[in-house]
Amino acid sequence: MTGVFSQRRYQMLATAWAAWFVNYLDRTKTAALLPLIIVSLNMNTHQTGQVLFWFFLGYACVQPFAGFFTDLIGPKKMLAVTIGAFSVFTWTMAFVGDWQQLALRNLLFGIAQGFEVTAGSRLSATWFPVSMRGRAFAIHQTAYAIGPILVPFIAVPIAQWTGSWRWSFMVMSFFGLPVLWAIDKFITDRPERDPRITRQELNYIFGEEELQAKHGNVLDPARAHRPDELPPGERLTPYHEIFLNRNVALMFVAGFFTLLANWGLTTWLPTYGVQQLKLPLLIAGTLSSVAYLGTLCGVILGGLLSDLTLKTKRTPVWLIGNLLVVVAIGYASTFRQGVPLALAYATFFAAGFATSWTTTGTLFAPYLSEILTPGAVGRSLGVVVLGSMLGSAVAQPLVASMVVQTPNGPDFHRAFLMFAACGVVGFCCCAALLEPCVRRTYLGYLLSGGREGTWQPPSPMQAA
Amino acid sequence: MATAVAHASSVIMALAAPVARMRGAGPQDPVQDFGSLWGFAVALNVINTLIVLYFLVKMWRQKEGPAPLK
Repeated sequence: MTGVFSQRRYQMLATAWAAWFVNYLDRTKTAALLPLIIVSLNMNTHQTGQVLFWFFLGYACVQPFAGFFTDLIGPKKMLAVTIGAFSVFTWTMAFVGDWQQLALRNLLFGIAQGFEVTAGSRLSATWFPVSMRGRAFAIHQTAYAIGPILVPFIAVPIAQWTGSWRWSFMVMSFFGLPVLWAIDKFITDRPERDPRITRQELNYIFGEEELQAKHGNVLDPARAHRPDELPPGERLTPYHEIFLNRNVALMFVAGFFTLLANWGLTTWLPTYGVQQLKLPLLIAGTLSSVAYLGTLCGVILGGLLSDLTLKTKRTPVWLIGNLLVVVAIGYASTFRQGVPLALAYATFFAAGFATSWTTTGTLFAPYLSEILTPGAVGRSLGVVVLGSMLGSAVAQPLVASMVVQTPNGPDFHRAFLMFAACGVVGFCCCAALLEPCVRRTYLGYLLSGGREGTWQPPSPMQAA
Repeated sequence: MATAVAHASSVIMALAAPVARMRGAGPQDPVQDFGSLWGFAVALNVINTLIVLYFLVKMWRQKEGPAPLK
């Protein structure tokens, strides 16, 4: 273990993980404390919805800029700015006196948090070789599943012990400070610019040949004119290749539908449990926790499967994941009052597992770095996340409009069928994605009996 | 990425919860809520912000360049 953590890439990954974990602890603590905040600030349902919506709006709006700034100023500074900003906005939220103040601070908090995913993703893509990227990014992504599981056990006890939810905000605003220290100590934007890295580790990350060929100082692959102007591991990637890219566009659409299904499902699960399955509130709440547990397992297994079994192919994992979404959520649409609890848990575990095997759950950073270049992950991911956030935005009103009132209470089966349909759209988008390993779509590769295609990146990796 | 806003179940549970004064809810006015610890809370926030600014300025001044290999 000591050997692993003496490697600079693992120190970087552990720091990026901690940043992503604190980000999720911080964003989910507001929801965990909502029962107390609603009572304290005398908020009604509409005002509560507004408070949550403004966070979401801030998060979505910054995505195109987040990617651009990450590539422009570098992931280290971007990560530090976002952690610093949301640490400060967290404590300002402890001083609100009404829901409008909370909504405004939630907007600023959302803007601050929105810059992190592109920075962390780009670091994982830059610091690991292709053969390890899937697993490395899977480790990074476990943070978003573990954070929501742990946050009720951190935020709520602090509030109850001190007698005020405001102290939870105060205490948690300090969680970002050790992460800032770790970013300062352990993160460097690029491996070859790190004074503490060894030649052996650089060889492992880039390969001897690539290291010999590239010594360039133009860090933005969109601004370089020749391959030898670039640092190792990068290739020329002009702006039009990033923003007019068929695969980025497909991921935008897939992200919209898969996060619509994911966010719609996990938001409404407890209500569905109470109103349709007639479960007690506490048991109904655990349906979401089980789905998050499935997500955690899915993220880890997805990375292992992609790197080891599929030899760094990414799109097959998403194809399987979207099919599982269709099956698991489609099956859940048949549940009625009296369904065995074990069956409900197993199905929603599978649904959580499946939603992690989509373009918004895992492997998106490795894929974008391989279809484009690691130096363009920030900008391309900004586009993809924007699509995903728009899907999240429409999920709530759409689900609400699809719930049918019956004599036995609300019926959610139409909403669940819509989530399953989102899985079908996600599958179609992923089927049309190029798989860089086989130079064509993965389904095309399978249907042609395993023949590789002719796709080539416009600029080869090696210098001429 | 995935569910990007909040732990969704808590939102619904919060809305479904009975509107009763629970331990941890506290008064609406933050000054009244912090009570005698108001000054301490403000001091903590000033310290938090100064530490954040220290790290941001420190990292902003760092220049990364090609490193000599070991």
